Amino acid sequence: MLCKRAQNRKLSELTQLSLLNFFDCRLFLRVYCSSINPLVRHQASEALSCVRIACREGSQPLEAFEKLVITCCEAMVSFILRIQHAPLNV
Amino acid sequence: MIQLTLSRIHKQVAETDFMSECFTKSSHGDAARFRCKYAYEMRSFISGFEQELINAVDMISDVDPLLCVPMLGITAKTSLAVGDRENDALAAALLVCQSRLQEQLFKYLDEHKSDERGDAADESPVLNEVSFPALLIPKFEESFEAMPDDVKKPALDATYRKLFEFTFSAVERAADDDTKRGDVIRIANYALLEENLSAIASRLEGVVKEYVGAAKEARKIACSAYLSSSGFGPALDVATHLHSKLLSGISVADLPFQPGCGPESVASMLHTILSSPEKAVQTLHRTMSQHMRYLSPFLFADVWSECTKFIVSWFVFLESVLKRSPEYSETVACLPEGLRDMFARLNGAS
Repeated sequence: MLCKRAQNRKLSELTQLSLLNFFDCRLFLRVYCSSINPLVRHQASEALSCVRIACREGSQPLEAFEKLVITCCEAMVSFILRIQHAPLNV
Repeated sequence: MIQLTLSRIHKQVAETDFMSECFTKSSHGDAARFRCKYAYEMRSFISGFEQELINAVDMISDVDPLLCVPMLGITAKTSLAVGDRENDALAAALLVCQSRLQEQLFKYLDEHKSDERGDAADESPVLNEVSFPALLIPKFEESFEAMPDDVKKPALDATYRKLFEFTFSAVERAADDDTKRGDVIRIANYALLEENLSAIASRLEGVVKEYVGAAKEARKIACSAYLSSSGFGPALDVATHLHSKLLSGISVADLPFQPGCGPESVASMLHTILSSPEKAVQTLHRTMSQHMRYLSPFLFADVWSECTKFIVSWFVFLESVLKRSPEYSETVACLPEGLRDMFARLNGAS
């Protein structure tokens, strides 16, 4: 749910920017980053829930922690690579 | 054009499947460079992630604090993969996570060790922290075992470095806080650290060996500071004073005419030692045995032998200088060989 909402918010902000005919890459990036942040946090909190469950049930909390760290870091790398290769060429 | 760009990015974001992506070293490198270049923007990008990591660490360490060791391994591995650069918000978040893990681990070890020690050890200068490296290094090796060698070594080195920095700063902090026993705290703890790590250092090159060397050096410095406040202090003061004069370019012949180097002041500084050297050595041995009673006999003998070397080497210097200048009527004839024997006799007795 949150993912969808965050994406919509991001799109609406970006559309506003385009309506203003604003080409500043840095500002574009700023808006992009702050709008994508809920998505990153959502993924992190989902992974944290897995950690919580693993701790409660005593089943492989280490694996859950590894998933939290790796998933979130890779999500960030992924987003960055995408925006880096976007036509705006930031 | 703008609309096209937005729709492409929107599509890309919507299609992203983070779980199944695989990243190469170069893609991590590109991303790290990007994060550093746009540091401000990146902070808003990953804001909140750090807190989730801390929450996870606290949750897991509540269940089993020793799980902090493999978690440190996981964090170090990820840090290496994403790149460790200045101004990188992601690297900073991982660093905060590592610090929290260490904090939780040391807190547990501290409490655990305190329980074992009991009340009698309250006045001991020996810190719990000096036992941590020997206790944790094998666990770290085990946790990092599955990593490929090119990743494992730097990750382990970085972790060991943090561990040693923690240990060294704990010793220095305790020594600085205790004005009376600062040098004793340093000598005892650095000696113990060396002893605890001797077996590990013999098979591990790199950081461990480097820090064992640093502990040895720190112990030496503490030993000289400790001895300068002992009965040998005035004699060592005069020796270092003469030495500094020589280093500044004064010749041996001119030494007796320099301030603080006159025959009378040298004689008065050496008086106690020259009048009863055996008594001075025995007093030092008694005081040191009392101060270092927490060390094993083997380790005490090692510390004593280091003090012997330090004092005797200064008396060798004194003898060579005083004999070459006729103005000094004072003689150090019974020294330093005599002193070396006296020190050795007491070492055998301890």
